[in-house]
Amino acid sequence: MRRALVLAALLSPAAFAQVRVEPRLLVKDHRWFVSGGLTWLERGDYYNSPGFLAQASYYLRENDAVEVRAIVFASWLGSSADEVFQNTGLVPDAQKPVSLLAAGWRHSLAYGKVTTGSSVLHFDLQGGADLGLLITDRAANPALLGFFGVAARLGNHLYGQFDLALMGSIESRSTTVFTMGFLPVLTLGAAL
Amino acid sequence: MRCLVVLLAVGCGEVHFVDPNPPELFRTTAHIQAGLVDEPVVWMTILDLFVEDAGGCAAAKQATLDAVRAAFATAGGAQMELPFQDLSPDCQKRAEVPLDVAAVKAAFAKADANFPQAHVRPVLVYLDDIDLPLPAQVSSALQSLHATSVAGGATRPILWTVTFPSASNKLGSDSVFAWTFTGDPALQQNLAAMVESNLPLRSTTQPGPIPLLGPADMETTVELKLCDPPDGFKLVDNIPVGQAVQLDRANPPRVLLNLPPIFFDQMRASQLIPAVDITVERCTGNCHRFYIGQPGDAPRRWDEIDGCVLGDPQ
Repeated sequence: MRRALVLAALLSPAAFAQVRVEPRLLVKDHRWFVSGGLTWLERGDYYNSPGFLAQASYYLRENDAVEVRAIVFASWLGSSADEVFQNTGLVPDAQKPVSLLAAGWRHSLAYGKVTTGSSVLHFDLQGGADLGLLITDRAANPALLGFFGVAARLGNHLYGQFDLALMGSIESRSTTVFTMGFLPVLTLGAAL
Repeated sequence: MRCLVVLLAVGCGEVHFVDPNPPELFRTTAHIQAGLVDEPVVWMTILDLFVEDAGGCAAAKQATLDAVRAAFATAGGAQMELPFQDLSPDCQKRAEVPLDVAAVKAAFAKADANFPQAHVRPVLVYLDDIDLPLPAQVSSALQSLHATSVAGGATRPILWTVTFPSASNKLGSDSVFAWTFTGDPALQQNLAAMVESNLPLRSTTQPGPIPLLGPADMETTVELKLCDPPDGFKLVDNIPVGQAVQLDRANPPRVLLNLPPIFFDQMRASQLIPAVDITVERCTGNCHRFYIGQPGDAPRRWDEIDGCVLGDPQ
């Protein structure tokens, strides 16, 4: 009888309930994160500027990394400006983006996990700033980027990253102007 | 929406439409100076001398005439002395003989005919040794002659008086010398100094026709505009001001300035030669393309703009 009671107690729902702690899997300390992807520079310059990029980050510690980015833009004149050009021959005085080279610092603001069905997605909310050169069809202009984004672990070594950057640059148009634009960046890469 | 609201708040950097092949414009200024020529020295002596001793009359008149002639001789160049007028033949009564205005004018006309290419401006030298106001008829005759048109209306005579202030007042002379005494060397020296600083008179000549462009500019210019009509000059060539004209290298653009003759004495001639800067805006390419002065200005085709667009050259 006593044995039967003990077995019943062991099989009760309370006995089945357990606290499972998901270990931190997006570990970055002293690791390289290398990725490539797509971007779009939107700065109101009458150019459509999609781009391809490669970037690499090395985490000096878990929450801080240095990074470099290289973006090549495939810019073309937007339809409204093209219509003006076809009718009059006039073009915007904005310079046509060709590429962007930047380096800077990336900081992890918060680590999070979210259950997606049967799996758990580990991610990092990040922010940072880069300095670089926006190379155009006419000049290499100094550029400054500030960004917020998220880096998510997609597999053992696979991760994805999305940054929304605000980019400012100094550019010589009809006069010298400070321009600002959005630079959303979506990449897929490997953690080495 | 080309720029999001957040970016609009801080500014995206203004974008203006520009011409990638704007007109190639340059400003050229041609400095044009009138020429100067010496005019003939034409002069006439008018004597009105009083000599107490009538026996010395002829000698006094001759000495005075000689002094005037010697002074004018220093002017050099083409000269013509007109027959002198003697208002007091026996030196006993002032203005005994009226000034023969008609004869003087006839002499002017003769001088004019003698120098058909020149602008004759006679110098009248009136000498009077009496310290009293001039008789009205002499005064009015001299003023009448002074106002006479010569050289086809281009000039009027010059009046120099050698007398006392009481006589020269209100005469409107161009120059006045104080009378001293007959035969005074200072009288001749004063006259000679006046002649030296004034005669021969010089007058301006037409500068032109003048090419607007130099040889180097001729090579590169496609179209040009004459920017501003020069002040005080009149363009008589058929070049519209402010309008773009095609450069015809076979007939290079020239301007002829219609400058009236201006007379100078020797002292002032070198400083006051009339000159003018004629500014031309040259287009060396893309002349029908758009010119945009300031960012945001409406684009305008250069060859359709009335007037020049570039600022003063630095």
